[in-house]
Amino acid sequence: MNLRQILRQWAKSPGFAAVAILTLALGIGANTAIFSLVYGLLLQPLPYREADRLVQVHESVPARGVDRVPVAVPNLIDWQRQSASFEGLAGLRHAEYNLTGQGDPRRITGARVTANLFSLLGVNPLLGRTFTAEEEAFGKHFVVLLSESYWRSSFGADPGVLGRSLLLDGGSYTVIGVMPGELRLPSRNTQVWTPAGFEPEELELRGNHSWWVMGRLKSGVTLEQAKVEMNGIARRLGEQFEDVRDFGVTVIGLREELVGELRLPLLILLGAVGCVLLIACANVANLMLARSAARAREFAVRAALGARRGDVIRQLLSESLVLSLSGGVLGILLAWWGVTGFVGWLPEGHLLSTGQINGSVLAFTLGVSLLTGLGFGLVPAWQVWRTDLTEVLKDSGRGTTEGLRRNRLRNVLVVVEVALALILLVGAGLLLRSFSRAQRVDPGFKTEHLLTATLALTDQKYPTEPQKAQAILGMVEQVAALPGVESAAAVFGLPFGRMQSKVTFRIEGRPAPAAHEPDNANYRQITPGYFRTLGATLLGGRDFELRDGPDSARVVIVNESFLRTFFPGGAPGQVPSARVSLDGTNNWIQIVGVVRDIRDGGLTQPVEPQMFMPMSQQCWGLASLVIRTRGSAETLEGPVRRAVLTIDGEQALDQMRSMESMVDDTLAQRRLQAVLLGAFSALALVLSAVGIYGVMAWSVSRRTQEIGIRMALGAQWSDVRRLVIHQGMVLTFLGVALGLLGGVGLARFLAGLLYEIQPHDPPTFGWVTVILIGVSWVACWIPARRAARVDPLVALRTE
Amino acid sequence: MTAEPQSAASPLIHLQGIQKVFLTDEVETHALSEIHLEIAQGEYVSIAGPSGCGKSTLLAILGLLDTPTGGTYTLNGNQVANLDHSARARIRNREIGFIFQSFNLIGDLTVFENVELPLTYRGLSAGERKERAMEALEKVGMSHRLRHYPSQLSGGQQQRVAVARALGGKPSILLADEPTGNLDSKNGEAVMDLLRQLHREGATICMVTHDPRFARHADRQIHLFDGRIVEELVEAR
Repeated sequence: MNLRQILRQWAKSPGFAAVAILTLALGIGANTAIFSLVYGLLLQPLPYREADRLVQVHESVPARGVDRVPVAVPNLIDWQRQSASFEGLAGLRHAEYNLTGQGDPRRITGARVTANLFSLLGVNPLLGRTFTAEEEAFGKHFVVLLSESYWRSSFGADPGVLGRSLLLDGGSYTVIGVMPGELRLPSRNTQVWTPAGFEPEELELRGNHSWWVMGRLKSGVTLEQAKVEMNGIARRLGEQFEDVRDFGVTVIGLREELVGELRLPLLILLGAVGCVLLIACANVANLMLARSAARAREFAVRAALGARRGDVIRQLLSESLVLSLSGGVLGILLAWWGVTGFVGWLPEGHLLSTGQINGSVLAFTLGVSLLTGLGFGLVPAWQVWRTDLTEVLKDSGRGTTEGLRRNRLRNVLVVVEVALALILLVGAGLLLRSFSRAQRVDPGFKTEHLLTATLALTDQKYPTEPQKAQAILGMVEQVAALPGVESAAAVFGLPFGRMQSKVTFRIEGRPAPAAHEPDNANYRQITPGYFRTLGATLLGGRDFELRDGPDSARVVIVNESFLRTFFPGGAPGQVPSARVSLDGTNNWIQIVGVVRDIRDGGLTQPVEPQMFMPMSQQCWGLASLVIRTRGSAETLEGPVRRAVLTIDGEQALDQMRSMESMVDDTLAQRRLQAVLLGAFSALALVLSAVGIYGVMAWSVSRRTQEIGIRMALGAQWSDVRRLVIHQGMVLTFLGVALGLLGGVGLARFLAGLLYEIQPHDPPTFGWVTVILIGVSWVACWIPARRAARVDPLVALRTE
Repeated sequence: MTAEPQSAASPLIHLQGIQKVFLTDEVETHALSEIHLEIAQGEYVSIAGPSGCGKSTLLAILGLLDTPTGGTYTLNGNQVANLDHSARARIRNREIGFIFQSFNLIGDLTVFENVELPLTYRGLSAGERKERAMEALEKVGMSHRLRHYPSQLSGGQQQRVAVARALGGKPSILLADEPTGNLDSKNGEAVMDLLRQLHREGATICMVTHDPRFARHADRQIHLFDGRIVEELVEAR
């Protein structure tokens, strides 16, 4: 059958063609879109030479169940010297710089890297050269590499940029090269790279874990072999150095490291769109079955004219393939539109923003389209195979209506559709309820009308900690005086912010904790009034005051989790009469207050023990301003910047945003999963409803005569409606029973993504079942209503 | 038959000036004109005439499947020409038994279920339905095929089942539309014998046929032509 004949067939029944192509387009489009995300993250080759040999190496503390700890510089250097598994090990560390001398001061995102990083990755500069080993040394490290996007946006892709100077944190760095856009380490937002320039203190401190380490396995060395070797090295180092006594090493493939926790949700989504495609296939197979039944006489005539059964089947498959390819083309358009919109909706730098429709994705779509065409085309072909075509010609109406038994295959398809739709609805329901629970989590402070911004004071300008603290306090004071500002404070370690730190400590009078016992807490530096500005609750003791200066007794405020962990059994909020030491010396710090738990790692992550130090007693120059405003937080952005500039005309502010949007970002992943699975399950629900409607409508049209007979025999409209709805609902309930079983299975996979929701959450299972049954009922009611309008006289005349 | 007893002055069916006009493309087609007809309880009436003379339309109006454009229709003493859908369905179920040319059995239902079907719409208990259906099937000699499906029966057997279905509800009148039209002569004769037998047992029958041989089975033969009754013969038995 040639294309012209197929198109003529479509022209004869444009409704069939439109519904089939649109259904397939939705199914194939959804698969194309999700595959483009999967491909971008899981399958696309990394832009590095022999990337399968690249690994990320972390320190670990097995006794405490911690498998990923950043690496201390002395350990990195020892690893480089002692390991034989790697062609090389390179270090990199996220860094932010104040860029001055180019208009208003601003913050740019960068990284400090060891000189061998680029050769280890196999990435060559687009322009200029990379770092030499000599430039890695402290004092000789004032050279910088630009990212391609930064070079284009800030320097207009000027090749003459080489040799120019950038004032970063007050130091003059010479531009020596531009790196290609594929290099996205340590993050997609990285704008500049500078040499490691290890400071003398960094080379000494084994307890300062702040570097990420990448390695390239030697050819033939497995990940397991490298792990064994590295843990042997760690054990030897632990015997030599107290700071890393219980440390081990974790070695992870780079792909796995980059993908992180996104793998499972993505695969679940891929499964979900697979289900959507199956439902679409079942729908189109049903349509094709209906058509082939209606065209039985045409096939019989063809058989009488000499066509073999295989010819008829080939004809049906040709029609199916043309349909599926048409659906595929429309699906690509839908996917392109969906992926473009989705990537635009993602937070900047999100891992999934690599999703795009490329050649590989198009090949996938072509394959899916062909498989789909075969999938739904084989069903009616099989039906034709089983039919004796010559008998069809002889058929003269035996005086009975067509039996429903002939619909068995169509009914099975509908049951499968309903089951798949329910499985997806269960998944979406669980994720949505989980997301809803997460949204309702109390962060421990008031997030509304709170503006935040980060700043980093440079050592060049503020060499000492008191100078840094003084400058920050001055900025806070300036900002607090602004009209529209209720109060202001500063913190190192803003809730949900990037700057986080942990500190290991000892409690006075207690022995050193054993390897499996907790010995650290999240570490924060704050200015007086921080808790009040944040809207957090001081449960006991006192807040910091201006008198807690550099020369007064050192003090610390801890949170409830800290008390529960280290002082269990005490009354809530009761300040323990205890002192702690952060540096292993007798430099004791008195606990003076207890604050209610503040969530800071994420709304759904458990609160860890926290320690708050007054910034006037310890200040690293990194801080976030926290500003409680009377009205909209965003309107104060300009005045806050200007207020900071009155204290330091070269000080940049970065990441100025409302706390509400930061909290919102912490839920982005859950929202993403819930929205996508919700959208696909809604699509599945609609498609399965269309499927039920299609089968029931077709059934009603085939049973017109039967309905006419029933009405002639005295059936009321309600009897006819009940007849049709009963038939559809029996299929629905069978599908629901299967779907609930499948839903239980899916819920087990989802368990790790849920928050405060049991995988077998009865309300979720109950509600989605009710929704599906309701939608099915409507899908049955429409043809049932039409059935009840059958004129028995007309129906009987068709005999 | 257990229809309510009628007085001699009150026929079972009384048609007065029945008309049926179809409007197609602004053309009026008079399918029936000025039909006056009375059928008494226990009568066996045949309506014959050439194709297109209006006999099926008349039967549809008699069976309350269609409504007349004009005139009055009294069934069992009640005006039924302009009842609503629900009331007409109820009367069809209780007062009228249909026998169709194509049998019109439902393929998914067994013989027993087909016969039981009209009784389910009447809300009878399962026991009562079974009793009536069995009685009807025995009457037509099909009680040995209860669990068979229509497709497993011959044409003649299917029509017997259709007759049983019509009898099961114990209607006031049986309306038969070309009951032998889809049967061979032998089976056709057998069905006519069955109707004759039922009539002898007291059934009121109104049969449409184009075949004069079968029309003569009736006591009273009405001939239609162009939508009008042109002749009426009463057989002397």
